[in-house]
Amino acid sequence: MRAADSRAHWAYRAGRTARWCWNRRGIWLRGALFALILLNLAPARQRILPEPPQTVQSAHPILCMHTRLVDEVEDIKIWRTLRMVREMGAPAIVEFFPWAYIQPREGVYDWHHPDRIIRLAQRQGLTVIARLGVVPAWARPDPLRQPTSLNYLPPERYADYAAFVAAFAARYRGVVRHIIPWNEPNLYFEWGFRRVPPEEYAQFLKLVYEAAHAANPDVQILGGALAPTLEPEDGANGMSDLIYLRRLYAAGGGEYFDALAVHTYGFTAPPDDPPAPDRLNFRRYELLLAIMRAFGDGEKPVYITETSWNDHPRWVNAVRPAQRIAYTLQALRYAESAWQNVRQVCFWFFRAPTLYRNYMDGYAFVSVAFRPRPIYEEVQRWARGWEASP
Amino acid sequence: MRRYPTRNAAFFHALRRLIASLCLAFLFVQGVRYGRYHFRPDLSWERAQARGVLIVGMDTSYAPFAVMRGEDIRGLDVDIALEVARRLGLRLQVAPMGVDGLYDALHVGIVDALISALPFDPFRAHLFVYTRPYLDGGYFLVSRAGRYQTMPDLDGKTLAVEHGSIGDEQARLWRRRLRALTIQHHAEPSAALAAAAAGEADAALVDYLTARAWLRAQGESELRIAAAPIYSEAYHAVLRARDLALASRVNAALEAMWADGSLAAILARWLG
Repeated sequence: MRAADSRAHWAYRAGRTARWCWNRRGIWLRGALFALILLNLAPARQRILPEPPQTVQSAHPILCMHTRLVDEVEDIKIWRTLRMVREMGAPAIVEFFPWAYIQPREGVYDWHHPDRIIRLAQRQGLTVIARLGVVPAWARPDPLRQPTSLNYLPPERYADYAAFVAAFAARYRGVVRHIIPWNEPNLYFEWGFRRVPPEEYAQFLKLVYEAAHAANPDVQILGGALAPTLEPEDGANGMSDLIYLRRLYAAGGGEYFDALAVHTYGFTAPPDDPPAPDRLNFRRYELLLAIMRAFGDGEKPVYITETSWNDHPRWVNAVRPAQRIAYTLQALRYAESAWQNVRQVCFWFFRAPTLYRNYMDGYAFVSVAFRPRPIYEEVQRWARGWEASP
Repeated sequence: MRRYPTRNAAFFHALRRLIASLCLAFLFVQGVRYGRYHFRPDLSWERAQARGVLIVGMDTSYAPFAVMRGEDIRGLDVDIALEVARRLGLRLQVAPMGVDGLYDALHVGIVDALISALPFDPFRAHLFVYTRPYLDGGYFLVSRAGRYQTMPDLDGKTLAVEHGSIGDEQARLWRRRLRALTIQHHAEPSAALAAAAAGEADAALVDYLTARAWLRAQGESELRIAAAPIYSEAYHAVLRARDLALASRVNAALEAMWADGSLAAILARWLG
C-alpha cells in the first residue's frame, strides 16, 4: 500500500515537472538557440598534436631566450614559440608572470595561464626563469585618493607580494627553480614612479627571499635585474645600476639573493667594447662583477636575463642587420669563454604576439607570423653546433 | 473593465514597454553620435585654404628623406611636400618630430599630413588614409644590364645580400623554392652591389635607396635595378581618414607629379 502510494506520488511529481517544463517551452527553446549562437561565435579550439617529451639539443647551453608568452591567448602559439626556442638550441627561457593576472583578488589565485606556459615549456624540455611583477589593484591604494601605476607596491604590501612569490615557488617546486622577483628596481618607472632607494629594495628582497625559501628550499631568487643606465644617484628617471648595486650590498641586500640577474645591452657598441662607468655596452656586466667581488660575493652565479642588439632601420641605437648577427655571436662566445659566473645569456626578445610598430620590432628573432629572421638561423647554427656544416 | 487579468501582468507589460523605450532611446543617441562623427561635413580643405598653410609632419633624422641641419630641413620628403603644397596653392610648414610621434601628431590634429617615408599599415587604415605611393624603398634585384628581374631567374645562380637583412630573409626563402641558389653574405649592401658589379655574384638583392645611391656614386656601371621589387615597401603620404577632401587633393597632386615627371625629377635629385 505504502509502496503504491509512493509510486503514485513520484508519478504525480514527474507529471507536474513535465507540465512546468512544457509551459515554459518558449524560454527553453530561446535559451537553447541563444546558447547555440554563442557556441558558434566562439573560435574553434586549436589542437596540439600529442608529442613525446622533448629534450633540447644544444652545443652551447648558455643560450637562453626571453619570450613574450604572457599576452598569448592560444595554446598553439605558445607551443609553437617554445618549440622554435627548443629547435634553436636554447635550453632556457625567461618569461614574465604578472602578479595582477594570477591573483586578481586578495586570497584568490588563478594559475590557469602560468600553468599552461610552464607545462608546455616542460614538454619541450625548457627551463623557465620566471620574472614576476605588476601589482594588482587590490594591493595598491584607492585610485580616487592616490592614482598609482601598475608597478606601485607600497612597503606595507611587501608581505603580500612575498606571499605571492612563496605561493608561486611552492606551486612550481621542482619545475621552476629561478625567480626574478622584480624587474629593474633602479628605474623610477619600474618602482612605481617613486624614488628608488636600494635600501628599500633590500628590505623587499629580504621578505621575498625568506618567504620563497620557506615555501620551496630549492628555489633560487635572482636579485637585481637592474637596468643599465647612466642616471646619477639622485637622477630624475632612476639610479645608475653601479651605484644601486653598491648601495644594495652596503644595506645588506647581498644576503637575500642566490644569484644576480643582469641586464646588459650592447646598443651600437660591439661586444668587445671595454667597460667604463660612463658607457652602456655589453661588458658593463664586468663593472657589476667588480662590485660583487668588492663585497665578497664574486662567486655568486649570474644570469644575464636581458641583452641584445637591435637592427631597426629607424632607431638611433640600432646597428646594421649584419652587425647584429656578428655582435650577437661574438657576445655569446665571449660570455661562454670569459665569464665563468654567467650561467645563461638570455636575449630580448624571441617573438612578440603582435607588432610594436616601433624600434622594439628590431629586437625580435622570429616574426609575428613565426617566420625565423636570419639572426635566428645564424644563432641556431652556433647553438646546435652546425657551424662547420654548409 | 480591467485590461489585464492580474496586477503582475500589468506590471510586466509596463516593464517591457519601459525597456523597449530605453533601448530605442539608446539606439537613437548612438545613431546621432555615429552620424555626427561619420557624416559631419568635411571642411579639411576649406580649413587648409583659410589658413593658407599645409602643415606636414616629418621625422627629420632619416636621410635622405628629411634631415635637419641647424634650422634648415632638407631632403626628398621636404621637396615632395613643397611641390604638393605649391600645387595646392598653400605654403608648406614642416613640423619636425621623432618617428614615434608622427601618427599621434596627425591623429590629434597637430599636423595636416605626414610625408616621412611611411609604408602602408593595415592596422591604422581605420584612422588614416594613404595616398598613392611616391617611392618604393623595398628590396630589388640589381644585376648586369638588368638581366635578372625575378627570383626564379636566379635558379642555379649566386645572389649577394647584406647579411641578416630583409634581402637575406627573402633569399633564404627562395633558396628553399629553387633547385639551387647560392647566397653570398656581405656586411654592407654596398659590398653586395660591388660583388655583383665585379662578377663575383650574378645579382644583388638590396634596398632601392642603397642601390640608387651606390649606382650614382659609381657613375658608369653595368648594373641595373629590376623593374619590380622582390619585397615591396612603398612610401605614402598619410592623412586623417575623416579629412578626405584634403587627402584627395594631396593624392591628386601626387598623381599629377607622377604624370608630368616632376616626382621622378625630385627622386633623381636626391637618389641619382
